[in-house]
Amino acid sequence: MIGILRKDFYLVRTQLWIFLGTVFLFTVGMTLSIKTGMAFPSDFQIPDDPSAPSQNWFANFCTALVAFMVFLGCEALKGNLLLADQNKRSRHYLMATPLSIKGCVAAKYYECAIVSLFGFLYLTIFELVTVALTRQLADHSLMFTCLVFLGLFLSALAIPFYVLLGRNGMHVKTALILLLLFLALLYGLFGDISPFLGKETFADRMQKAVFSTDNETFLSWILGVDYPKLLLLTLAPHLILLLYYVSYRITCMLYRRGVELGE
Amino acid sequence: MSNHSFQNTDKINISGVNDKENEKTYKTAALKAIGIFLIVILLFDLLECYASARLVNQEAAAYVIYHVFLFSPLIGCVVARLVTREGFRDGILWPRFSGNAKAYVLAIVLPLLAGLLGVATCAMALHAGLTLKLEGGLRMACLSLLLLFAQVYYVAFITAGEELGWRALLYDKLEILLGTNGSVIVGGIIWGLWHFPALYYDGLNFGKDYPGFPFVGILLMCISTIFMGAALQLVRKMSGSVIPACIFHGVVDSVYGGLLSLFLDAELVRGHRFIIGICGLLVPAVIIGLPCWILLARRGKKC
Repeated sequence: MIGILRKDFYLVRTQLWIFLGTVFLFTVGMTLSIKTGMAFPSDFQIPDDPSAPSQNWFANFCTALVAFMVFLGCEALKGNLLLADQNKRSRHYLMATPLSIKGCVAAKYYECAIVSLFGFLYLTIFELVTVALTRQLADHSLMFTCLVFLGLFLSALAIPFYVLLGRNGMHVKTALILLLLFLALLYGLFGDISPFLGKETFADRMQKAVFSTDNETFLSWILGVDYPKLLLLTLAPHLILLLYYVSYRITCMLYRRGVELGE
Repeated sequence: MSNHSFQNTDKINISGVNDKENEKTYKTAALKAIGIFLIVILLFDLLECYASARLVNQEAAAYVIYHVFLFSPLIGCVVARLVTREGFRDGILWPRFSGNAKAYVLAIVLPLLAGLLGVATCAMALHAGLTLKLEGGLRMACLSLLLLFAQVYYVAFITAGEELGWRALLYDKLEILLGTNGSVIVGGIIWGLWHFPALYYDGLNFGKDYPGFPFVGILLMCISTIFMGAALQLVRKMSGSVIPACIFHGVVDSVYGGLLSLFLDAELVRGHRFIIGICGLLVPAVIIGLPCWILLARRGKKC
């Protein structure tokens, strides 16, 4: 199993270095921006919201940007890992190993989880550096955890698509996600969101989310939601892990069917 | 022919010597790894003591140093494995879900049980009674508990920084030198002493206003970590992986305090930290840890 992981990461080593380099450069840029942004008054308040607590909004904003960048990079790397051994011969060879189908499929799920965890570790280290630079306490662990589970959720949906349709499946998945995001944005900007977000407009919520991403405000934002949705949110990590396992079983089934059809 | 028989004789004689030499080599390597590990965690302990004592007004710096300190056992394990050239090929980080469901179930059930035992013991000791302390009643209590469980994943990630040092290196190396029981006792003492900065400066678990501070607190902490360590080492040995131990530790750190606040008054908890520490931590650790220790010792004898 470890051999297969090593093989896949070796196959995508170029993309891996590009990802690490890009994320690192972006992080350095944001870190320097935060250092420069300290020229802003430290008691700067969120615009048009004098009741909000004072905070270093620029550091929060930069942290949110870096988190988003790392998340996107991780998703792109996962896509490359899934497509790493498209070569049919290597796939048949892998199935001849003692690991067989279950092991080959499990390796993909482990790879996606490892990439998500690496992203979380990177963001945690970045936050420690930010705290050291700004000398202001900040804790965005909740946001980082949400991004990790979102990544696992997307992987659980993507991997069966990849097995079913190969490279085309990945493109279909990406297109579907972009379409859904676009429709959600359109609805958020022009539709009625009061059942989801209360009396505030979508733009207000996004502004608060981007400028106030530390745990306390994030949690108070979530706790403003009603009880059933809150219950779903607390159960979400466990449900996503369950979905991840169910996705693994479905993928094993699809993989086996593909092998049988190929034979 | 004569050479062949000479070589055979040599092999018969040498194999006994090679076994003893191998054993000596393993013990020397284990001692070296433990030494390097202890030096690294001692350095981080001293750094944390400095931060707690001198950086009281610099919260951000103390915050960063504290989080690095939490990962010091992991750093010690990495340094020790690199210096002794042991590497990381033993697959201890691998989850090994297949065939080890029991270990994962125990990793969740045992700390929960310990937490509930702790709450019951505290309630008895403080004559508090076991009633929900939230205004929202059962609904909010369930939600609070679910929130705590949702935190387990993040806390398990942080506690992996400890478990990857204690269970992935220290306990295994001590077992080579001292056997199973010795590794549990000595490993537990080292783990307890590692908590010194938090015990002394922050009054972790037992507060600061008890007779014999901080020595009594350190002693009680060491006893707790000995028994808790036995339970953690059991789930680690059952699965061959350190992941169940991380989950176990994560549940302890995230759910314990939450359970106390669900059933006991905040003012009661604040005013009786020493009793809460004994009843909420030490007593459950001994009750849960003792059977785990016995099972662990039996596994050690079988191997």
